[in-house]
Amino acid sequence: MTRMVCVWLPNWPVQRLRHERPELRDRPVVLFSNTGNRGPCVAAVGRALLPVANHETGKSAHPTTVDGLTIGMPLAEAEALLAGGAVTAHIERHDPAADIAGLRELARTCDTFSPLFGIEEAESPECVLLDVTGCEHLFANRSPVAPRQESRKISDVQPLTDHGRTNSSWPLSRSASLSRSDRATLGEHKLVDAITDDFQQRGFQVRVAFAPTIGAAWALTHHRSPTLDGSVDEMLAPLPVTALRLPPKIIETLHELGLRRIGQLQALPRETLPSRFGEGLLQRLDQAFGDAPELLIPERPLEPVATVWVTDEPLTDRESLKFVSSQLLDELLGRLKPRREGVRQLFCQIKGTAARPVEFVVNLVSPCDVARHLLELLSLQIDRADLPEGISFMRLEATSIASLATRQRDLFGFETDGDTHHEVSSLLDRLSNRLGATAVVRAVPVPDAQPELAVTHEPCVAEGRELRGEGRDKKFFPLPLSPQPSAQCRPLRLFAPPQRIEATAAGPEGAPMRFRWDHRDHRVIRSWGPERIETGWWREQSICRDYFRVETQTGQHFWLFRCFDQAAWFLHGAFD
Amino acid sequence: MAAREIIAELSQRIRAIERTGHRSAPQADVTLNGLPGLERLLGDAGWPRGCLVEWLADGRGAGSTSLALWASRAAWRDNLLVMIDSHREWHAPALRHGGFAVDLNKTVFIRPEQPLDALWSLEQALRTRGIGAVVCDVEKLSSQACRRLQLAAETGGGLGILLRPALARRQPSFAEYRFLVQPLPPPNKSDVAVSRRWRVELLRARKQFAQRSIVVELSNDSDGLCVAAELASATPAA
Repeated sequence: MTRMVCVWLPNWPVQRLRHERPELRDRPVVLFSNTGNRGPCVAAVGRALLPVANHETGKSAHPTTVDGLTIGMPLAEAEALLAGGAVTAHIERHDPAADIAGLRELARTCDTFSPLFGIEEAESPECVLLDVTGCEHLFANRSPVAPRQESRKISDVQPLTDHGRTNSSWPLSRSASLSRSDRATLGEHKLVDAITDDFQQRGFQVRVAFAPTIGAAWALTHHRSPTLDGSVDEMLAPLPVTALRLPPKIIETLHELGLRRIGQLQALPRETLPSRFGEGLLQRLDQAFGDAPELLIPERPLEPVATVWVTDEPLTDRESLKFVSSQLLDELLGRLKPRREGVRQLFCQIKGTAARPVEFVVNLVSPCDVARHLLELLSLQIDRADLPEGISFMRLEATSIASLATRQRDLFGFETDGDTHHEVSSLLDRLSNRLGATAVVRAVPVPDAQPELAVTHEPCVAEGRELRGEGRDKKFFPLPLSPQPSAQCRPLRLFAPPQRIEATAAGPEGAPMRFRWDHRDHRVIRSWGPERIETGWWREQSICRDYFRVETQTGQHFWLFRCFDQAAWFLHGAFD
Repeated sequence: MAAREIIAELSQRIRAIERTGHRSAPQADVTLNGLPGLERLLGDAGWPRGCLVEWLADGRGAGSTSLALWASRAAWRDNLLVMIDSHREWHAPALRHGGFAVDLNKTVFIRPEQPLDALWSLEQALRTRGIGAVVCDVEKLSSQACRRLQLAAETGGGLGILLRPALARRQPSFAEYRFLVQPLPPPNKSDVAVSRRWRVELLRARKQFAQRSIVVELSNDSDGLCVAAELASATPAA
């Protein structure tokens, strides 16, 4: 008999966010999304987590209806409601892709309980499913965990499973299985306890239940049944129809007809159900009772993709090493090929007779599965590396892998055919790997009055990118360019730092008359200015400068400034 | 064989060697330039695809970079612009304004530490298809390196803009065009608006053109900078 465990993480989008950023636990969280044409609407709400002692006296544990906020309410309205609160709310855009990725990652950590684990199939999944068939007895001898009070202190969240009960598992499922054989039952209890403890200690709020089917387990996590004993039929019959994972439209129809309990549905003639409510209802009903199959799509644990080469006869030259690298690369890519994945980051380790191994990292703009290109990038690094003598060990590991399908199409926001795009990104890879990631950059203007601070540079190829974060490709979408206050005249070349010059000026506030720079005397024939640039005292180093654009007798245009703090002239740029 | 025929045949072979890359390149692929009056220097009103253009000027601030960017605007406007910034001098906000309207989303700055790395980056960028123009300060350039750059540009199809000191005019070059930029005294001495004038002289070109130099004027109108060629002062061919 199959045994399925369902772990429900209520309000998962908010839980995920708080797990990633623990500082948000003390603040209400509102997630919004742009669905339809009504502008931003509230997609998920999480109230500030209260201390455990206070919570236990509270009644409702469901966090979506707090503070008068409801799902689907316009964001502006929600903001107005939250404005009066003592703690400022955290408002963020809802990221469904990150939610799914996060839940998958969480599911992969469940391999201590079962070899088969996955997430529920839904538009916005919130449940982790485990197939624990035949695993229960392994947990029968599990030693009791630390008292729950302690684990609560560690996790500092209120466990949703504590509803004035003494143990953490759902009472229904526990009592229901007490009538079965003792050993398996004991194992089931302990397994549910173990899973609950595990999630709670990591700071998640969960409800855990087990049942013979996925549908029943899901229903038992989401709704409490008054029947504490009996078979699946008896347990599910008193539950509301919403426990069947039905689309809202069907639920609405059922409610209109006064059908509120699963038991009422069961009493109806089976063959009339599809014509009245559609195919979906019968399928969900059968899945819950085990009359129709439902597959758990298992998540596979990620294994490191690495290849190693070891020899007894050490290598002495770089060319042989490159040959070895090409073989290792072929092997590595051969393993990734069936998964349709490419390398984003490659870690290379070379050991020789010297004690310290040579290690370097190759970063790529976009996932790549072309051995020739990767070999080229590796060779660039090998050529520059200070290799030890007598190389006898080499290891290549793909430390960041991404699906080839998610390769961004328009790198710089304009249409390019595939080949050209590929060439440009491979150029950026080559340049970044030879010159360093900080040497291949894009300029991002910053609204700052001080000219040298009016721009920052960000690398085209980011180092140490997260392994499977969905957000990483956002870097390549057009940067939000902040508008400059005005189209000021700025020189094309700006010297950093400004170069101190000797200059003669017409009066203490006047324009420069002549100055000496670059071993030449420059006589000013025209000048424009001054433009005063002054930053406030709140800066660490405030500045007060009068800028002049000058034209010299040779027709060159420069940008000079008088620094009032140092009472000196500086050359800051050239209008080239 | 008569000496004249031999000379004719040899010169044809030299031309063939010189123009190997261009023969295969489609003739219609010329990118229009954005500097008014320059077509009178270039004749066909555009740059061939995949060529090197040298802009020579004496010292910083002479204005050759602005002219080079204006003249090649068509090449980089819809494509990637690569700026090789060895001296870490390019000021991105000025590129957005100043009449260039460079889209910084489509601009990559490469900041190599070594002069050799700069040359390597330049060659790599020129060799890549899909890149509109590559701008680089080049002080010294051996003819061998220059030939490599030219071949790279022919492969990639982008425009190579080399900003060089005026002293480089004595050095041989494989560039398609070589311009010398000389600032001229301003036409009117009004101190209110910024105005500049240059003489742009075509020092070297594969083809002979009717005119060797033009005068370009920049005036700061109320709505920005604009460039206009001064028709009257164009000098006839030397």
